[in-house]
Amino acid sequence: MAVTPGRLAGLAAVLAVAAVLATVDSLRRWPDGAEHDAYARNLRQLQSLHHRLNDLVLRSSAGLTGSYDGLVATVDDIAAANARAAAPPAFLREPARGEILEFLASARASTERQAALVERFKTGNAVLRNSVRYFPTVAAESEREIEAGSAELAPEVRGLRFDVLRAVANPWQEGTLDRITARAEMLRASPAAGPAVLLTVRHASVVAERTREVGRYTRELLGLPARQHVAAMEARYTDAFGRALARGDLDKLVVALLVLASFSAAAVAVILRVKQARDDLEVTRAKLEEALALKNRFVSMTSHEFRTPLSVILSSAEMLETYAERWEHARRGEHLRRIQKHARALTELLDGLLLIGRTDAGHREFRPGPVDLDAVVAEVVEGQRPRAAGRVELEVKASGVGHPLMLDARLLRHILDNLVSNGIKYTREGGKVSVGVAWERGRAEIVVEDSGLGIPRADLERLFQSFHRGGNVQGIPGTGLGLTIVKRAVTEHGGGISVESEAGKGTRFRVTLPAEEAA
Amino acid sequence: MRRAVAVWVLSGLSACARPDPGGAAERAVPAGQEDRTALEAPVTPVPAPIVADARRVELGRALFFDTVLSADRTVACATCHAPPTGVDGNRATALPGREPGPINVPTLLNVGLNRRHSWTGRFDTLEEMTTAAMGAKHAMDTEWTTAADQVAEDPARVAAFAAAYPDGVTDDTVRDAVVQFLRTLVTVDAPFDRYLRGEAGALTAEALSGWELFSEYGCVSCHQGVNVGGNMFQRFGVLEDYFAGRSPTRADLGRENVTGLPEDRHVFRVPPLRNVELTAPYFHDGSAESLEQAIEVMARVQLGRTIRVPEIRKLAAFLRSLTGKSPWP
Repeated sequence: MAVTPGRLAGLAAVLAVAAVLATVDSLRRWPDGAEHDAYARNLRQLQSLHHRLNDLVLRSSAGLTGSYDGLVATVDDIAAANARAAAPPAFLREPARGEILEFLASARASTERQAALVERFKTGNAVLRNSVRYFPTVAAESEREIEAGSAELAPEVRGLRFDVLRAVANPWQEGTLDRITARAEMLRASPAAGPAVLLTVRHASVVAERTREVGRYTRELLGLPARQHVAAMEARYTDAFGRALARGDLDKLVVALLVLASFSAAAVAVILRVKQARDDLEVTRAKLEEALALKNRFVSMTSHEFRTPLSVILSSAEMLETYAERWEHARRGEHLRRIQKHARALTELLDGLLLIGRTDAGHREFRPGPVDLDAVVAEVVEGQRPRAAGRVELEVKASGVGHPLMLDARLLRHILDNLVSNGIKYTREGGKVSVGVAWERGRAEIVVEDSGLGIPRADLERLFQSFHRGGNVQGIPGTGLGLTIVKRAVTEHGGGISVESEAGKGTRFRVTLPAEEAA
Repeated sequence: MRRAVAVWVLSGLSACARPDPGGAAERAVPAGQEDRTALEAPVTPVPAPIVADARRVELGRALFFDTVLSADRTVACATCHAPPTGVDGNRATALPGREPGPINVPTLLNVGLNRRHSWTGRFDTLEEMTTAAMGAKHAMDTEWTTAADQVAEDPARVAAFAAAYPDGVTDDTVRDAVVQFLRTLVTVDAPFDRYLRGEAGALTAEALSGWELFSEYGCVSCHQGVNVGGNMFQRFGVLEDYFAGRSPTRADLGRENVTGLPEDRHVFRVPPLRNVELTAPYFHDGSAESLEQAIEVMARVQLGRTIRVPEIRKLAAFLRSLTGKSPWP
């Protein structure tokens, strides 16, 4: 496939379109900064919210915070952050998107459990802290009650009180809690226990039970995998974001390369086009130069061709003017005939030039009329006989066409005149020029044959070009227009001409003209 | 000359004081008093409401008092939640033309400070709660869509909504207007809040003793937070069965109505105690006519004891100190 500017321009266009498509695609996949910021921040917040929730649970269970407002707010915030995490930014594609949403689903399931546990925790922890707070008051009352009556219970009740204190201080000690439960059972069964002691026992039991309960909830809450799921989400998201950025960088590179290739193709196309234009300009210049040279040759040739007969005419006229009265009739007649002959030759030359010029300008020069072909041929040959006289033999083979044909007589004369005079001109002494005419239905054929110099093969191509003279015609004068005129005349007539030639042997011109019978 | 400049510079520097951590401009912290508004404290003062858009609040306020929100245009929110208490008696008895309500009507004062709403804590947000109230047969018996249509019949209202909301009158904006108004119904500067902020003499001695008892008896374990309750669930009757000897009504089942779990039977949202002085009768069934009665019942079923009258009086004095300034315009 040849590399043409057109193809290169097309390639440049294709590459440019590809670059645009690549850019659009890249922009589509490019992470939106605001969306990413919001989403990443939400995930980080979500993790810190889980931390905060665990922290608040521990503080509440230790009695370090008296209000559950913070804990409830954190539970609600986690739910809101989960909801926001369900809408990842647009740039996130499969499989990362699916994986992240799966992690989120696990995190949400865990979060639901978390919310339920927090409610149970608050309920249980409140009861625990209630009894813990109330215990000193009720323990003091039981002390008074024991001192008033049931002193035998004192060691157990006091032991119970200290165990409750221990349980508050050290909630992880199962032994303490077991002891409380055991003591409580024993004291409940004791008949000496009064209402204050029984109430103390009840609250001590509450402390033991609820400490265990709150411990269970706390441990489960702290062990929930929600935080890990969110951490996995964040890790996967960060990774996907990094990849999207890297992909964006790659996309930028691809787009840059496409743009570069497109520009290069366009540049090369432009260069080739300029080169082509320069070459065309060069060709045109050469043609113009040739035309100029041709014009110059024409001017010099034509002026010579015109000057020669004109000078003969002038000299004869001058001589006639000077010597006409002294010359005899025959000599006067000779000069007059000479004048006529050369004037006629000039006219013919002019006519031929005009034919070339007018057909160049696009004028139609074909004006057919009824013509006796044989008569015209005979006339032309007789007109040329003086030129051939003594040197070359002239022969005519008549057509035997008995009736007139529709031909342009003027064009016909140009054809015959030039072909025959060429034949005579370019044939050596002793040679022969023959003119043959034939007519077949609608077609006249004229063959002019000579046994002259022939035309070298190299000149055959340019035979009918203006001013072209064969490579072997040195020494023989000529305008180089003769065959041009023939060709124009043949073309105007709507016919064709062919030539066969062999250098040194001879040349045969064959002219065919469309010629209907004249009515 | 140099001394004057130094004085001038120093006084300028001292003017760049640290911002007031508590924030309230009207608070006076006399020397020697401590600011008790730490977040870890069981009870924190009511913050002043943040009004994002006064036009929306005004629209909500107008709708609150307008019967246009109900399907038959006879009932407004204010019919049951009337000023100055935000709750009018025990509307367990019915409004004319309606079925009786199932439960004691909670106050709307400070409702925006609650984290869970209604006796069963069924609703997490004000939007959910108001939607349920709109749909309740004993209340508005309608939907937001119908209400919005009825609101949109008034061109003045439509214009007002268009000015405040980009979407004009829709279900969401009508609901939002009501909710925005509800959020402004906070009672600030209760005597107890001023005490928390460190104001000397804000509480009477009796109320202060009541606060000590409230803490020592452990009441503050559940009735805590900025609204002294309203953010957790608890069984009504931890140490004693409140419902013993009676067949439970549907309302008595409490959160079992929400979760369906038997362990949630008789579990209720811990009621917020701010302005409790104004919202008799008490408990979900309205069975306690007075504060003193309610305190006695709570001591019995939650603590397992009968407390004496002087203690009851102190506790009641404390509870009365939770009454803040009326937010009703």
